[in-house]
Amino acid sequence: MLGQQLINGLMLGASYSLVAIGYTLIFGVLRLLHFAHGEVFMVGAFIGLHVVLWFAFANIYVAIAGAMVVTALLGWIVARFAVQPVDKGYPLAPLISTIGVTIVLQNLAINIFGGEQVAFPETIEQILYRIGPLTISSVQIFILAVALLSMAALWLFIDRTRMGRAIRATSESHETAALLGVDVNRVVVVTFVVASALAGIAGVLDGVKNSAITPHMGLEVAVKALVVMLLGGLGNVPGAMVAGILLGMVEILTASYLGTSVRDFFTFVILILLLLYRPTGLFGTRTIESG
Amino acid sequence: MTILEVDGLHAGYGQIRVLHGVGLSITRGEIVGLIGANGAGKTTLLKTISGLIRPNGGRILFEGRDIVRLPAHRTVEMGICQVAEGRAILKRMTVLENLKMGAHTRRDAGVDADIGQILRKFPVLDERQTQLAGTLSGGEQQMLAIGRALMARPRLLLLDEPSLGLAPMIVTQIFRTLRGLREEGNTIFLVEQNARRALQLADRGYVLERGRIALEGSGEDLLNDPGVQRTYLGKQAETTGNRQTRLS
Repeated sequence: MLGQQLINGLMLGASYSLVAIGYTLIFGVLRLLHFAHGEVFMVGAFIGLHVVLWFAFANIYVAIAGAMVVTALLGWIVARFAVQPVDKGYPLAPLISTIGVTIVLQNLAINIFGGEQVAFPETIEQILYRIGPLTISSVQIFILAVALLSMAALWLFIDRTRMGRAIRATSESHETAALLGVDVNRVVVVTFVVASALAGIAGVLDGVKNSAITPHMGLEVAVKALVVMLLGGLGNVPGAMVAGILLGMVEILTASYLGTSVRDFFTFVILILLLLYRPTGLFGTRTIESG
Repeated sequence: MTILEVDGLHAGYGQIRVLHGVGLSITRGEIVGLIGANGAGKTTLLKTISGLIRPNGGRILFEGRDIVRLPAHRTVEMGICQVAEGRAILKRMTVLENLKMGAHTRRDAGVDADIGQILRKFPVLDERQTQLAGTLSGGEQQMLAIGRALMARPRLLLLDEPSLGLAPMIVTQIFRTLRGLREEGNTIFLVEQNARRALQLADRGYVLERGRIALEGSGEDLLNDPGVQRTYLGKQAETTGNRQTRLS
């Protein structure tokens, strides 16, 4: 029973991690809470759905790729037109601007896709595997594999590549990065693109998991991912990965032992305790002092 | 051969003007020192040259090209490399990653060889390659900052207060390093509070006062200048007056 719940928690948590990584990357380079990040996740889910619906040849991988491309483009648009033009002297202006993006994206989605819940077609054949007392479905394995692979790819990108190093340098200090020859504006745009593509993947995975999506699905995930970012430490990418899975586990465990009605209650109790006793996150972070 | 020529430079932050028509020139292969009190505009001048601040007027010619409008990352590509005040290393990256960041603008194959060379030049860094740079001591961090700047193979090195906050022994070491760099043919523009050490090292020097160049001359001339001695070298009986100048 416990093992089964931990597997479920891992699944739920992995998608929180994907969204939270985006938050924390963007927070790292700009000290900005990207309010519309949850809506990017929602857009990813709808693009994935429509790729499957429109194109006969499309399987779930094509849907994920399509969602990534569109959300990456969306990230670029948000950075270039909603964040960078207002990013001057008024720390709150970009935040307000991303709230504006939230409203725009949500209303666009409602107008195009309708305000109702839409079914996400079955794209993966359901097979149940039994390993001792545990039951794992092919869908669960798929979701987990895609989430973990995406995180591994992101980790390699951040840790090993030239652009990844530039992103880390920029999140320590814009000035220092610029003096080393880093085009900081470009790094900011790339960060939005990468973060948004991850949210797009998470959106499609959410559709696969829940078999239904709505234009309002962004908010809940956005709030949860926000808690995850705080748990992991602002700007701390590995922290967000671990904290997402942790929160997923806690939610599943509280839901199964204490009832689903207290699930979110517990999430926010954790948030409040965290803010009271460990405001720098579970793993600490050194992002803020250098900002 | 003039490598950098600054002419009539006006710059500041928003409404606050700091530099009022600064002019100076640097010749290839020399160390030029810039001394001045806190708030005279030394750091502002460096930041304007490196492109972090866009000036309100004047010209900056680097190897004959006007670089006034170039942002910082473009001036780095051109060969100007600034080591910012306060050892601006990347604390959450390893020593090795910091050095790699120094070569960010380079695409040639010689980067690894240069890293090896820097590590030989600074043995303390060699021992700490995989250590996070934030765990280094102040002197080691300054060595790393200088080593990292060299990774860009700069044609002009701008140093902002490399001795700031370091123990005298370490400062001696840093200045020995700078002397070595000149012998290797590097061109250095050195901004320092530690006027005596800077002028002893520098071929030529400038004195910046309230955003204007007040004096210029060889390092030795400036060291012997009574005004410089009184204000920046503390060679006067009334040390209290001197302290006030420094603090102002």
